[in-house]
Amino acid sequence: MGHGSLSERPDASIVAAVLTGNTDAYGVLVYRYRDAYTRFAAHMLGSLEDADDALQLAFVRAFRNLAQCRDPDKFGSWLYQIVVNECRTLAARRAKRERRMIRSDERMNGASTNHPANEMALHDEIQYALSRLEPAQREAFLLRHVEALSYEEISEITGDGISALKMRVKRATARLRDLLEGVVT
Amino acid sequence: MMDWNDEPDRASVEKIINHLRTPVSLDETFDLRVMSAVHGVALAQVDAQHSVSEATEENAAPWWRKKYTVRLSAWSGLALAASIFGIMLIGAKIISRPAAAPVVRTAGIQRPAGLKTVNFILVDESARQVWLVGDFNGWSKKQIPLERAANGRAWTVSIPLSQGRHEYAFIVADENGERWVADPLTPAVEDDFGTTSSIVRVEAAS
Repeated sequence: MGHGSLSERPDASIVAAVLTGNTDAYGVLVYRYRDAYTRFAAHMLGSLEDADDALQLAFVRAFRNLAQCRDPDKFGSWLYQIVVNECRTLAARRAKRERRMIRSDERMNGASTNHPANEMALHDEIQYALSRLEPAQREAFLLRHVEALSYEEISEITGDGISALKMRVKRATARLRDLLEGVVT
Repeated sequence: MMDWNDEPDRASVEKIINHLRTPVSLDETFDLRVMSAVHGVALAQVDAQHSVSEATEENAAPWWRKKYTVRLSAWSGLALAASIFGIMLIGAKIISRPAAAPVVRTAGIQRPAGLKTVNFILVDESARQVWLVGDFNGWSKKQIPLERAANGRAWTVSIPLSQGRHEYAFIVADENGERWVADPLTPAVEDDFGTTSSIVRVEAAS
């Protein structure tokens, strides 16, 4: 995107630019965090289409409430909270729908035609196992092990206590291992 | 140190995690769709602020500048209209009318002082050409073409507009011909003929 030197600036500087009327500057933040949060949303919701919805809602909500971002240096962390909340809301709203697995179609990086059939099958098995976890366990597991956040960071994002988070991650790991026994060796 | 490192089957857990760490990307139009929505929110916020300031000005105005609604019966309305007409006839004879100021029509976008650049975005991947029309250019169709974004799905143009409320719409040309499209992201207004246009309100340039 053609944001010039703006793309080099820290989050706080871009937030300040947006709040003083430079709406286009928000595009830098969208570009900066889009990919980082897509993977989490896609795994949480089990669908790239739902992840797209969640991220779009999160970015627009963040823009609407940008003035309430108390520490613009931590815009990414603040946005993560909004993404997590949007995922929770969408997941709850769509809980009655048939749980869809992420399709390994051309929209998924790294899961295109270059992957052999057994890799595709493994991918689907892992996604299915992930979808069988309780949402709170899946959320904690993804944030801790896939997104590699510390428990302190996860606690800040989710508002949950560290002990509870550790327990969820432990249970999620054990459950995944059981579900994938014989599939992943 | 990861939590499962002490477990005998950590290799299988690591394999699961590595698989889940494969990058996932969204549609390449994602940024444009978000920014379209964001611009819509920004315009709506400007619109809301303007409404609030108008209401504040209205409340602060002296009694003779405030707007009042007077309810009249049919007969009293006719009597009032007749009275006003009579006063106007008398007044026309007494007061000499000044010469009317010449009307000047300006082609293209008006460019008075205090212009502000406004971005217009339309996501329409089937379009072959898109133009912006509005009261700012006399609704003239082929004056303001939008440019196709690099991904080929969105169309954008930035133009300077004067402070105030403007009505506009897009003309989209595709394989089925040309059609009138109101901006889905901004407030709409319908004219007497049922055609829907959009509203943009431009704040004073800072």
